[in-house]
Amino acid sequence: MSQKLHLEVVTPERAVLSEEVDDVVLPGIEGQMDILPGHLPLLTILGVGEMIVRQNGKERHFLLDQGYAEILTNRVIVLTEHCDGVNDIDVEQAREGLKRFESELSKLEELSKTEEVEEELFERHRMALERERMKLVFVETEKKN
Amino acid sequence: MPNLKDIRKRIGSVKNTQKITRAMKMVAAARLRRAQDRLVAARPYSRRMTMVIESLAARVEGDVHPLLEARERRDNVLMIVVSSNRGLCGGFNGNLFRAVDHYIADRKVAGEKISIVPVGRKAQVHYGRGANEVVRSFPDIIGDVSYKKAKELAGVAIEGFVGADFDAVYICYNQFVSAINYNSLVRPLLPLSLHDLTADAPAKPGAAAVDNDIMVAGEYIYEPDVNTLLAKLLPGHVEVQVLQALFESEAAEHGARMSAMESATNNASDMISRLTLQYNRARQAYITREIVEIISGAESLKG
Repeated sequence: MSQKLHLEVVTPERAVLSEEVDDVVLPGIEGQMDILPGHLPLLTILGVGEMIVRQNGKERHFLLDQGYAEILTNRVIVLTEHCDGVNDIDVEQAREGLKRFESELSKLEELSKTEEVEEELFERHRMALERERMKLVFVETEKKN
Repeated sequence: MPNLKDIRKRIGSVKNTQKITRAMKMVAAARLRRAQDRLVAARPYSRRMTMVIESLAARVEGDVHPLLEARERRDNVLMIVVSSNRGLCGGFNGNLFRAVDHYIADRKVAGEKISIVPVGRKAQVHYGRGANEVVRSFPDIIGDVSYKKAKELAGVAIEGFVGADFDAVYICYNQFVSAINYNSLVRPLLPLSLHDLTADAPAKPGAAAVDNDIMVAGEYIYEPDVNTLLAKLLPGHVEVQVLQALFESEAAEHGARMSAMESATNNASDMISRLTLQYNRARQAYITREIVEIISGAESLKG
């Protein structure tokens, strides 16, 4: 197990991480996946979810907001819109966001009973709601640990 | 000949102006450094993205995505013009507007209808009174560039293009070259051309090394499949292009302001030394005149 993975996390605004790790769990679009050294080349879309970085028996958690990951034998490159540690998340803001999107979504549902509403609009709101919810869940589980 | 007091006042006021221009230069220099850092920090993302899209594009056939669709008739064209919010930055906005206006004039001859999305207050003012339709303006992006705002801006372009409101979208901005140099560019943003992507890819030594990696590694596994991946990545690519343009423009703005203020400070120095010379001459002339008067007064007493 001497082999290490080189993990790079890049957002449009900056390079977040670039280090050697033992393994990394990514929030793939079709479920979580654990990437170990020597993985086959893989290109995948990421959803909103938790990234777990394991390094010398220590775990670090980050919240990723979409993007994609490129995996080459011993390199993992994650391109994501946001990569937040637990301290980067504004809980108050997330709560407010959650409330706002919930009410907007219910308004949309109300509206869809009487007239045509674009499915895409629904989808966008659901995504936003999901994102805020993920943030809160993430922060809560982190606090417990 | 102006009197001594006037010249002294002039010198004082030029000195004050110089203080201001010097301070502005310093501020611009500090901001330039920050903008440059951000520009550099944003590069890996867009570079990797371009590379991945390239390798994906090689594996799909035909026009698979609406953003790639090149239309034969181009009746409506959208121009996104990235300017600054403030002036005092030399020809920064003037050069850009000249390039854009020139381009617009050409397109109009070809019978195309031009719409404009101004970014920054200067573009808003410049195009607000023109004959072109202003779709939506974004005055608050400048000075606070973020991915979120780039996404919003790119959204206007993507929606307009996919919804067939526009047949082509251009982005016009000043590309940062160095602290004292920039290029005013009019670049096609949509439809995306995969050919351009390949041509644009910067030939950096680092990129070559990574290419080799891929070559050694062979075929990728794609999850879910190539087309879905591409559909997901292309809008992101447009957003990154926009973000990059905003960063470039921001760095170029501070660079332009820095060099404009630098030369203003130098001009003030020149002016001060010229005025000081004039002041000394005037003072000398005054003294000489006094002496002559005294001497001639003494002479007349003697006689």
